[in-house]
Amino acid sequence: MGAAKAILLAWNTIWQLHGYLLRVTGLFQEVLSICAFGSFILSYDENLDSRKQFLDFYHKALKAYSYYCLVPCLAKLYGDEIDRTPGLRSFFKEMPLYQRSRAAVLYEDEIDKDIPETIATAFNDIMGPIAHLTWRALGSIFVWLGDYLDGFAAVIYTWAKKRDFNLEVLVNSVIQAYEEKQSKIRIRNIPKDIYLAQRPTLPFDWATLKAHIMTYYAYRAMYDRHRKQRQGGRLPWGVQATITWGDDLVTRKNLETNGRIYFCLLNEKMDEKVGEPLNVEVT
Amino acid sequence: MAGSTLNVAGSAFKAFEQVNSTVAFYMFIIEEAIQSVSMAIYLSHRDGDLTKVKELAQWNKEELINPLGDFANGVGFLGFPMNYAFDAFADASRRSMDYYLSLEEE
Repeated sequence: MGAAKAILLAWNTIWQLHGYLLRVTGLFQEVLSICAFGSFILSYDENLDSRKQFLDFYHKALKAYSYYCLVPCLAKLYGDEIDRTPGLRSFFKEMPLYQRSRAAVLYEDEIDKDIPETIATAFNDIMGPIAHLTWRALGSIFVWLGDYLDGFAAVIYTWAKKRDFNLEVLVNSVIQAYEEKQSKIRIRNIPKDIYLAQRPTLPFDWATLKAHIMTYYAYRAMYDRHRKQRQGGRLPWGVQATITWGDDLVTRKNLETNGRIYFCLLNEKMDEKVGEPLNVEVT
Repeated sequence: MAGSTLNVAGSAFKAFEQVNSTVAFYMFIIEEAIQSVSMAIYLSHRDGDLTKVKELAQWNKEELINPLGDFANGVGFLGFPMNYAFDAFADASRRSMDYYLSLEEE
């Protein structure tokens, strides 16, 4: 009975420690879903300015979530995936902390590969596992304690519970808090399992984050296309129009500066081609 | 003694319930991510950007839908009976993405 009680006590402690992580995962999922759904509805809106404003906020929310997921941790665990996916690569390219962290990961991985066979490596065979275990144990404790004492999940959840809470306040607070401590954030190449032990919700956080980054870029591409179409309501001067009627070429002309094309159709042709569509191809 | 046993049993049931709801919550998180991408695919299709549609559909299928299906059929059993619902959702989403992938330029 005593053992069962001890197991349940340990379980409850773990549960409480990770409870905040789960709540914040849910919270960010909600924030990003609102952004995505808002962008979906606004894509039917003629007002491009409001769409732009909303997309900018969506981008900010994504940035806040990646800070919360710990950018160096993303560089270590999902760096390869980010490198091979254009949408994800564009997003993280704009983040200097990610670039630094990724460089550290790649550099240290390369060094590990290049260690030559020497006496040092002979000792390394014996000392390596011991050092590795010590590093893992110490690293786990420090990393975990550091982040837990920072209490970010708890802090974010407390912000969210405040009466004056709104999405913008939450996103801005997270960005501000992380940007203030960016220089102190570790960029060491910490083993994957330590990160995962410290942040067990990470694979699910990452699924949400990457899905919304891809979604954001799809809405962004649509917005850019609509803005270009709006700006170019009139075809640019110098564009060539080829006008054909059935199989006959009527004329090939450049657009005038006023955006119009002038051409003549002969009367006899009109009688001959009556009922056939006039085709205008702009190149 | 009986009271103590009941307490432990109650706590054990609570622990099971916590695991069950957490696993269901994890599947829900991925399902929401799939929905968001699917909405963007629908709009890109409406907008005539077939390249984007195919790129996103393929990505959605490989990176989110298939992993959700695998999760629901594996660890997801801890979230019983929700694993069946999410597995069915993954299956339906896969078919939907296959449709987008089969589209041809007009």
